[in-house]
Amino acid sequence: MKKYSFIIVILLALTAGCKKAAYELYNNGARIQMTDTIAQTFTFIYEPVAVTRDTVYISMNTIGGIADRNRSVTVEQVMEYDTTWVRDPVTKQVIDSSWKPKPYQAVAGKYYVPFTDPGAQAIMVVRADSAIGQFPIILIRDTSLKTNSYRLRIRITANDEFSLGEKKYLEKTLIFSDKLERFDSWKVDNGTAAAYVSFGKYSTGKHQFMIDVLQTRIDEVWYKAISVIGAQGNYTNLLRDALAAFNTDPANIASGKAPVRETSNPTSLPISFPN
Amino acid sequence: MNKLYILAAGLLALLAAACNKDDSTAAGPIAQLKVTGLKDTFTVIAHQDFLTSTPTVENENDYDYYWTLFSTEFNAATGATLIKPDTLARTKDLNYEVVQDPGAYILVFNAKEKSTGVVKQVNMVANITTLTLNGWYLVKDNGGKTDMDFIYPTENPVNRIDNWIAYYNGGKSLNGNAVSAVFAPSFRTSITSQKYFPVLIVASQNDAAIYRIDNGAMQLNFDNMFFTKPAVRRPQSVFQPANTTALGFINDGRAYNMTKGALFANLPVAYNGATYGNLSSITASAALDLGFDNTRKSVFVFNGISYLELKVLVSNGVNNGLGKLQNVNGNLQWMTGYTGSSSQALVLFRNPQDTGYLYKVDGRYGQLFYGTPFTTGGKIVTIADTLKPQHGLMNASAIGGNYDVDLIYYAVGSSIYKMDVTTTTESLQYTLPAGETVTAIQHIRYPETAPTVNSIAIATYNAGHYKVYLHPLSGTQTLLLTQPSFQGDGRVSRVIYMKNGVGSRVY
Repeated sequence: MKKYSFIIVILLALTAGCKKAAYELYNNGARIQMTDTIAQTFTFIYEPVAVTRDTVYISMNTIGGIADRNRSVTVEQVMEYDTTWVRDPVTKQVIDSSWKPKPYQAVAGKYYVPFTDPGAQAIMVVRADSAIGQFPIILIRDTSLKTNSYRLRIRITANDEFSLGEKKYLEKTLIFSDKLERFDSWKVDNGTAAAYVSFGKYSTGKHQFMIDVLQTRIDEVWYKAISVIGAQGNYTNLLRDALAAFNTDPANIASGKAPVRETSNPTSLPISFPN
Repeated sequence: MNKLYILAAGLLALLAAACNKDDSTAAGPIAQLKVTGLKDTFTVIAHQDFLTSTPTVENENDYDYYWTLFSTEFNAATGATLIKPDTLARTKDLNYEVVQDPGAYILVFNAKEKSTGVVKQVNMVANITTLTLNGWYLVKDNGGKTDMDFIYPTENPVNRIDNWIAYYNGGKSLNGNAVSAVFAPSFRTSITSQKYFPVLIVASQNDAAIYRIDNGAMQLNFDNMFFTKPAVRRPQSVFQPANTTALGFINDGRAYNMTKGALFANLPVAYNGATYGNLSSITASAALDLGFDNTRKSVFVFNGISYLELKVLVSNGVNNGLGKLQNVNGNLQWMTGYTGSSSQALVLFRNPQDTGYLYKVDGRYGQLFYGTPFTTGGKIVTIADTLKPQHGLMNASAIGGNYDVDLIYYAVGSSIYKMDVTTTTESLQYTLPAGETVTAIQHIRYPETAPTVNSIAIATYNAGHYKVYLHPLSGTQTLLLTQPSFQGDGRVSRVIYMKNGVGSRVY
């Protein structure tokens, strides 16, 4: 009996010992994560030529309490890759894969002020008595931004003040340039973006056409302003009529400007506004 | 053992008796308020009348009194805060000079029992109105300026405000002759506001403005009532759709739509392959609003900030009347629409040979929005008349409809005629005194259900003066010459009757 009881005790200890690790709760220290992981966009295009730097803020949520002092946040740049899969022609199974870095990724010092720069670090904080931080990225207006949009993907790193939050919310991409970009209300091409509902699919050709017709900056501030007063329908009708008038003008047809297309590529699709 | 049983039984009985509901009342009985002399409804004019009441309360000295007034304009669903009333008096008797904005209010008589602190309340209705919410508005022009004469019912012989727009707006009327005017309910100044008030929107040849009726204040004018102000100032028409959250406007051949609270938004000039850039001033409001494009010569439907074309749901090549309203060989002469239970429209075309085509159109929502189901024999055009060029209607200077019966009234020179829409038979009603030309014929019918005012109004003009004749309609719908009800300076083009801040539609 003693022999068996000894084994039984060991077995019981074993069963008691093997427990799945408990989930982390929101009560073991301060953590930080991104507010959302949708790519954020920024453009220098509306700023005067003399402006060579600007700051973009990435929103971050903290977990745990607030503090009465500024708490520093650290991030690092991570490279982004395109993956190509090689499949067996017969079984269609993946037999090989290769990664290639995405083009036009930002370079520290040339496109943005490095995160190790002391001046930048001084403002890379969650302010005292705040639960949500605005993380600054100082962008530099390099001339190559006029032709291409560059990407900067950042990942939060743990430091003395904050450990990491949810795994899926640690990285975010910022796309910036010195040409027309989407703005927040038009960040995707589906019904969740209010400007898509008003104006349809985004393209730089359409964006430039809207600026030309309405003679004003077409950005988040403009869209919010017209939404508050309920003028979206007015502008949809106005732009649709202006596009029809432009596309049927014989001078525009002759010079090739009509029909207005999505990009400067002559084979891209003509733009249209929703009915 | 017996003792045990007896003890158990005794205890059980005790248990049963112990659990009793407590029916006692804590304090003394609550007093019943006995009050007499309170009216159910008060109707008072702001800045003029007093809300007065001297109720009789049994055991008067047992209570403290106060009177409160609650507005009924709040959104119960989203109102997160308590609605605060105005306290009008802290005495039993009420004598309060009314200064609130017009509207329906709830007047509450509160009696707080001094001993218990319990408040008993009696609710009453208080309709606060202003002078300008009841009466006749005559839209006129005089000397190249558009204004309105307002005539209101009182015992005092001087009971009109001439040039009402100028009276309330620093002496400024609208420039240009009168073009159009409608009464619009439920106007508001922003899309989130819960405060609604009725307005009159008046358009002249060069200008247009929206006036709040209860105080005459201009809310918007041509310069600020559009999201995108038109380049050319040429108002043609303003109309109030059956959907009271919207308002329609036509200027320089193009249409605009306002969702009340916002501004007038552009309607497209080209839509779904059809053009709408040369719109007629003539519109008709049935369940939806009908318009006419002078280039395509077709009747269409206004649909918010876009358009609908008239259609049939099943087409087998047979003309169900739709062909009469589209690609017309001629011009639109006149249209009128009846909203509400009637939901139909009358459309009159004139072809190049001066032959007329009068159609009665099924103006119900389903027929206009979805199309007429041909398979069930539905027709857009329910009556179709051809009128010879000599017919009086083709020589009429003013035309008006009749909401209840298929009749049209029109003026040829100084003679007033009535025409049956089904038979096109004309009958002379009477002839006006020499020199008077007819400037407007309208069916004034208010309210829509069980009208208390049901007259044909005929406005005439002679050497700088107008007269408005009212002909109450009876069974035969015949008009007899009467004395004019109103007279004044200028030329009247539209008559709007208003009661309690609700105005009549134009038929």
